[in-house]
Amino acid sequence: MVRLFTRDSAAFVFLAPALSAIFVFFFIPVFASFLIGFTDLDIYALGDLSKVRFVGIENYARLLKDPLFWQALFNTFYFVIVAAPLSIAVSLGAALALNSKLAMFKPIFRLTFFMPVVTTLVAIAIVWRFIYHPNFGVINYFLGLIGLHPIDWLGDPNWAMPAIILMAVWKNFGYNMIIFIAGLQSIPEYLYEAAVIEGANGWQQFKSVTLPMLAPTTLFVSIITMIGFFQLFAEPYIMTQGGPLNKTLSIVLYMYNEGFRWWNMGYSAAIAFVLFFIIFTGTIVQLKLQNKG
Amino acid sequence: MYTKKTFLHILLFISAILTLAPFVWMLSASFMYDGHASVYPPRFIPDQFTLIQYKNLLARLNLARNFFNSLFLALSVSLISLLFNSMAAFAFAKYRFKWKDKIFNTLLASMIIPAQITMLPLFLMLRYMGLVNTYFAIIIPGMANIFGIFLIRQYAQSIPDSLIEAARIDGASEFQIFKEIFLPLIVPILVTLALFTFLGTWNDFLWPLIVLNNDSMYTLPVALANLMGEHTKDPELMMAGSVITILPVVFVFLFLQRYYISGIMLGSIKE
Amino acid sequence: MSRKIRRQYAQGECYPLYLPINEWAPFIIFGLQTGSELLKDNNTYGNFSSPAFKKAFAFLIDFYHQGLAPTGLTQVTNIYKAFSQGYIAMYISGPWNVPEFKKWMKGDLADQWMTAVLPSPDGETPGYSIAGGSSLVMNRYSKHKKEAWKFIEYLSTVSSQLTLFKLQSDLPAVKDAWNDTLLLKDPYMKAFYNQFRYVKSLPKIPEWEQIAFSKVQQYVEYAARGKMTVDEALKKLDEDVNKILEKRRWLLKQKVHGKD
Repeated sequence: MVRLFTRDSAAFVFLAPALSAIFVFFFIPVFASFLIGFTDLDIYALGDLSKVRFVGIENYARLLKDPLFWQALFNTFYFVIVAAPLSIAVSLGAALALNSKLAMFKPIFRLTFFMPVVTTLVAIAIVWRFIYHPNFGVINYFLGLIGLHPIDWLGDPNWAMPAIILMAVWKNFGYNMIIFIAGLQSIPEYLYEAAVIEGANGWQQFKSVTLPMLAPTTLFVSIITMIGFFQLFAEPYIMTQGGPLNKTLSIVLYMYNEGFRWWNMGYSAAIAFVLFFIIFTGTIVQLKLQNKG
Repeated sequence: MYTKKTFLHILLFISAILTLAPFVWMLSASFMYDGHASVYPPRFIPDQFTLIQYKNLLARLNLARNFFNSLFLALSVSLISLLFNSMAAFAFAKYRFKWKDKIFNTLLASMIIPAQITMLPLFLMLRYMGLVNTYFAIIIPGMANIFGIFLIRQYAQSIPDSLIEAARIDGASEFQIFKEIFLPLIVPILVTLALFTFLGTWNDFLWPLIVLNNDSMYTLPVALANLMGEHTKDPELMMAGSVITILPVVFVFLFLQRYYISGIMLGSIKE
Repeated sequence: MSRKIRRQYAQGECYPLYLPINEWAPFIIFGLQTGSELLKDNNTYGNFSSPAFKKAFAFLIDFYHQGLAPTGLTQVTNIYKAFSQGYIAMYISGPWNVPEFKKWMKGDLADQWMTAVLPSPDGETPGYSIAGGSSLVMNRYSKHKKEAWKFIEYLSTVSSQLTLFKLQSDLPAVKDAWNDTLLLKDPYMKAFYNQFRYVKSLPKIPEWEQIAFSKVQQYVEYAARGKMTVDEALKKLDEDVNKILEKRRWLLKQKVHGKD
């Protein structure tokens, strides 16, 4: 009994630093944020707490009527719905190519494709801002070479989001590629051999063996990609500041502007919770779809 | 078969070139004089090689200071969180205690909460403590993280309990077991996690942007974003800044890539 | 005049006026010139739909619609270069930009440009501008009031002000400093000196930053790109501004009640 007690307390000692840090600097803020979302905490209240009002669900009601919020919501969904599948498809393609028995120099290619993942997003966004320059940018130069007209990538309301999506796919596909390679390597060889005996061609093998066997990996990859992409911030902050015509304003950028530029903290906290709700729902839906499938 | 192989390699080479092109242009432009990168057609090789942009950044614009901030913060956060996370992971992996599974599952489930939610109250807390615009503003929220605990625990499950029981019989204290048996056995995952944390802290933008508010405290990404405001017209200077920001993480990654990639795999194991 | 410039350079892409859609200042300046009150009722309601402001706003928006000012931001990454190449002919800015323009307007171009005071609606120059710059403030709770005041005194001496001007073209706020030859000799500073006597100040409320940077700019862009008419844009602008100022109205009401 004594022994058990000391071991219990040892466990407690080992847990204490991390758990208290997480409790104080993560769980309490989450809870506090939830409360702040029901107040009008703002620049006046920062100086004098008596100027805070409890406003109930007013912030959320205002969000529903705020065209800029709907715009941010639409933009973020546009980004996630296009960029996530695209990036996953590119990742899978790269993984398949690198997993092929025919491929040579695999480690070098793998390293190359992975390079954008580890590099600093802010620096990358700055580089791409110049790459997208309408007159001197590298991309328009290549478009010109194949006879296409230059595009004002970041200045045209219709092209700004596609430009950000293209960059995000380039930046992120390496990460999922690694996970897919691991998934592909865990598919037992005899499944393919059986398929070959049944006369399946390459495409049929891919459809009837590879894809089903990769399903759990794909689910994991789509969930983490979705969660990450919903938090879009640095790209529009650096490249477009949310413009033109607010077409690249993301939820997190709107939250940042409201909370930390204009100090409308109650409103900003409400935006953050909507983001949480969306991510939470998105994850549940994907898990459900998978179970059904 | 032969044509298939050729086709595959052409595809791979083109993809590799497309992946590397932005880096090549960045590097090249960073070695040019003012205005030499704003030309049509774009140059992939500097017409006249110069280090003037780097000199300006480090000497006049004091980017060396920001480099130091980034390095110091990334190292401190990595070291502290490594210690805290591995202690907690040790408890979760090798002890039986009340509510263990409940606590662990709660932690796991809360990984879905986006960090942005905590930022406002955290900022207000740090402001109240007078820690905004200090190194502590970055270090404190980074002291422990759930993913780190999860990753180490995942790895530590494979350590046989008998090893620990044996040490106990030999009279080793719990802390000795942690230090002399547990830690040495989990070195590979510690390297991985250190790498994740280092790169994560180095590359982080939103939080440092919120809590650091002057030139001498900025980390590199924030300093760079701030510089962009005034120097939109100077691609050469901005590219040199990007190189300075990216180069350290690329080097760290190249040396330790094995650990990084195995970490991604371990992190993706489904519960 | 802009149309005249336009006609002179009919071929090629170029614009008489550079009016970046992410700068609110010109719109507020012209609004002040037509005598509009930006906010009304003790700065508690937006007043941008007033005829006076609408006149100024519509006047400037028309530059975009007639192709006299570019609506994009990405083309002009370097305004100095764009100016020296004749892509733009006029730009509304402050003295801090003069040194950089001097750097780019070299050789033949050196004497081909000048600064001017702002025009006014009735043709009598100069028109009003906004009092920019920053103020020196001493905090009521400061523990070093004496030192702070000394520092303010030091910054307000003629020599300190001139040093600041030399370093970053900050115009001296102390009138005596203007007698210095450094400023008198610089022809590009003359306009700013003359403009100095014709300035109005902006509403002094904490919400102004958000109103100007976030809301005025947003609706300028919407109107400039033809997504909204001038009337719509200003109506929405007032609506948004009224929402922002709700807290201020409440606070003022509390104050009145508190005194009762």
